[in-house]
Amino acid sequence: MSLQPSSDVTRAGVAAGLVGRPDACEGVRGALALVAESSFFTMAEPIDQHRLDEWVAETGAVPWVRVGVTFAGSFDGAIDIDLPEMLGTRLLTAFAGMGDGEGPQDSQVRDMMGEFANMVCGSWLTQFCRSERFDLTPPSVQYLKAGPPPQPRHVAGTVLAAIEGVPVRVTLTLLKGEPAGVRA
Amino acid sequence: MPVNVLIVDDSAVMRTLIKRVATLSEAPIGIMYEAANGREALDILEQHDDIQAVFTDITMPVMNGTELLREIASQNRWDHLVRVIISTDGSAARRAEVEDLDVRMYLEKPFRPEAIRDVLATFV
Repeated sequence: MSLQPSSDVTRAGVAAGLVGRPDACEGVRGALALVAESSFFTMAEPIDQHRLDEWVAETGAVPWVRVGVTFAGSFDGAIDIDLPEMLGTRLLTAFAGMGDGEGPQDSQVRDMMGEFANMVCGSWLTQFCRSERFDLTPPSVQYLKAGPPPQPRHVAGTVLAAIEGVPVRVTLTLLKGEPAGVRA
Repeated sequence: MPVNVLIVDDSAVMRTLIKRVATLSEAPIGIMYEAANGREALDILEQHDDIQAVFTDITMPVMNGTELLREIASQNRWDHLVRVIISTDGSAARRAEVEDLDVRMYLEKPFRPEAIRDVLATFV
């Protein structure tokens, strides 16, 4: 697990003690693993920044996608998932059970990646703050030309994993308020 | 006798998945209607009186799942509908919101395919 402390805590309106929340990041890692296993029948293997950098160097300038979901409740924030576009296509095939010859449409890949982020965010919030209600926005999907995008600002935590050997970066941004921690 | 269901989710891929799982469950499923939000779902319910079950997400644009279920609960002609929620939001607060809406089962996403099969087994 890699934590990326926010560089400007004051502007984010996040209390100093909030920077680097291992409990929150472990929860996000758990949600990612749960979604990968339940919906895509695969594993989300923890990796480090070095492995991510190696993969990027080996594969060259492949297009990436950033999928983001924001949430509002007792605290507000966002989860962004950065992944190579080719992984999105593979995940759709696993998710929807497409067979050979069933080429996915771009709209389907986009839809599926949005649902992927939606499930990771929702699953994390449900487990992390089970008693509370949060409202999620529809996911946003941004296509990027090459390489992983820069991390969002004011990141509270980062989770790096590999799905099918392909790196995925999940960042948690806390914008307002503070989670009290794992609650039953 | 086959059971006709209405699947309500703003994700077309998720609707496809639910349909596929329902088909593979070997439950006697008849027609599977689809809607992308609660408003579309109500339109379909108005047009088709042969639907026996509604599977709905909560967070959707135009009309969300809670609003849809409230509308269904307000009309006697839809008392027979089996109501199932499939949502990423499994919080106690959200569950409490739908407590009085006669929901048969609340499935959290991500769900395993067997969960859909098991839900269908309760009323098919």
